[in-house]
Amino acid sequence: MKPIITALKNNPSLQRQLRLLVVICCLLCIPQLASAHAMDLKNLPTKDVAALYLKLGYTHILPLGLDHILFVLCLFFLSPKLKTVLWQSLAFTVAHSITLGLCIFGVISPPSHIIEPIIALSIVFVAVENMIVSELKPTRMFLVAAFGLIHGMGFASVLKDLGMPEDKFATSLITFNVGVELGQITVILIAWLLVGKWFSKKPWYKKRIVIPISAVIAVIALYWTIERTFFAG
Amino acid sequence: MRKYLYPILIGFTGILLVCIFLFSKSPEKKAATLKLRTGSIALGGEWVETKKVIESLLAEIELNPENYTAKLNLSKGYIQEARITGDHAYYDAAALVLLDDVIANEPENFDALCCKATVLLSQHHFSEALKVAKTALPINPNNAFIYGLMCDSYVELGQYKQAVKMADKMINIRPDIRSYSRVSYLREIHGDLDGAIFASKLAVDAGFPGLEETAWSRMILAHLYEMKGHLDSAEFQYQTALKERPDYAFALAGLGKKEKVNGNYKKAISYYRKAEKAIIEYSFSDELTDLYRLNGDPKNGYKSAYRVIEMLSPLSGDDESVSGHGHYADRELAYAYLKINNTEKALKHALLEYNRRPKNIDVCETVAWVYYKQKNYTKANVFISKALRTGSKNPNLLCRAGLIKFKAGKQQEGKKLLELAFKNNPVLSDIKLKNEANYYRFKK
Repeated sequence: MKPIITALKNNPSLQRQLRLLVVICCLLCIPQLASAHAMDLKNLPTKDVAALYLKLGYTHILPLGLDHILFVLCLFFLSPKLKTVLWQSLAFTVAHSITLGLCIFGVISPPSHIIEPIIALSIVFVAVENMIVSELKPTRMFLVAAFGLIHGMGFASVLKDLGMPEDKFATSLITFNVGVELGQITVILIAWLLVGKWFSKKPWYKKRIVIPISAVIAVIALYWTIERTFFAG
Repeated sequence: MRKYLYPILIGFTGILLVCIFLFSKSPEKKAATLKLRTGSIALGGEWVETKKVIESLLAEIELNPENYTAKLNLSKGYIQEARITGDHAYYDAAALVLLDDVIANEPENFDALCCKATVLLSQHHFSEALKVAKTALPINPNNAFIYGLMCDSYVELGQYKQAVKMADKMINIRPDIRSYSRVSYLREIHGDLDGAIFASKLAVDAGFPGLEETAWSRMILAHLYEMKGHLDSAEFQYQTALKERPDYAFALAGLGKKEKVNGNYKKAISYYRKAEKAIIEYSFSDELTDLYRLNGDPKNGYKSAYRVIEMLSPLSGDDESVSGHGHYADRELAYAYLKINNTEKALKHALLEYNRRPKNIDVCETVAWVYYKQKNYTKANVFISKALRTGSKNPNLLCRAGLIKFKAGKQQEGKKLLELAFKNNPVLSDIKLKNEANYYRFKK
């Protein structure tokens, strides 16, 4: 045990990695926050509602939201610097919170049979863009925000199906969004720990990692786009 | 070539976007189909007739998805089918989808609102049921059934004064099997057993022999007779129900209970197994848990106990975080967990139910009993006092209350309650509880 502690003390990089691992483990524990029982939401205390919707937001990304995971991964692979990708993730969350709120309050009600294929198409777009651009451009941030608006409409249909407590509307909406953001951060941190940290500075990073992975994601997303457009229902 | 790639990507995305707007269709919501019945309930003309009616309604809806009359009738068919087969999880959800569709198009459809409240009651969503019933009331305040729905909601929410008012209004408008049954139950929980039996008899007489609701009324009457210690009268009701409605599962279970009380465990098991085969009903498996254990077969007892938990968990919404279509079965789950000595989970479910309806006496009794099993007698005493507030003379409740009071240091009060529980020599099918209560009753 002692040599490990000494090694840790003398190695700041190892300390950082360990901290990151602890953060990821904590984030992965979010689904254990609230008990999974049918509840009369009206009678639940605010803290329980917050925990429940935080969990719902988180699990809507991890493990349930494969399309959102692929979208976040596309953002990550083009520029695997943690700071940059976390900013993009935040822009995406802010954008989807706007449309999610508008949908929940009934200001807009886009049909899900249109929104779902567009969400898939947005993944195709960013995946292909990853393959054809050489570096991250400032326009990506606007694009991410625009797609965030679309994804928010997708989240709305899920929340509407689940139902929201009338008297704790703001709490549930905010905590759901926080849960989504935490889910995205988990995906980014895991991807960084598995890929970004080790290979992002390699000269072959783009050729051997970004292009093949983005191609696979693009094919999957294209399949979803076609399936959701022509074969749903 | 490279400079053209981005415009190509944008063009390609644009084309796909146009395709999405042109070709994506809103998914059609198909009505849930009828499940085939199995066992004895599949025999006889009633099933043939039900199948014919429901299939023709499904065909009508397929042909014209905007035929809301057909949708309403189909939902009624599914509500009835849920009662007959016991498959509430499937049919209640199916009926609710249809009813929501009807109400979305005709928000003032009184019939649809009543049906929706009925389904919500069946799913134990009592607050929602009351809300829907209150919406329907001004549309047709002269309809007796709506008062019945409100009465049921108030009872389950523990608002007994309002429940009595609603039952009075209901019986004044239409004295029939439904209103007499409600009066009977309200009298029972207020400790007027003779009055309850009288009303229950009227309910049975008002019912058409052979119909499920009449057979169910006989079960209620039999249960009241058992509380008064009139075993023969209870058995007569079970036998009559079986004559009028062969293989009626609850009547078979009633006969099983009688055998259990008489110590004929093997015979009791065979009755309950027959009932279990007829319909989906957790309480039969729950009784079998006790019976196997009493019969010296703990292995099958545990199997049965876990089967109950398996049956109830999806109903309580264990699989979904929040569901508009799930059943709340937490009170039942609390008792089920007690049977496998998992008091922690039992308490969790009991409190979930208490959180929904803190005024209901049955729920208070459940919480009290779980605390008793956890040896937390002070808390158990608080909840059991709430459970006793209507003056119910249910021997199970009185036994539990007596034991709790005893352990909470109120021996005199406890003894009094135990004496009251055994006053009429009632049928106590919970043998373990009966023995425990008798021990303290005669303890000096």
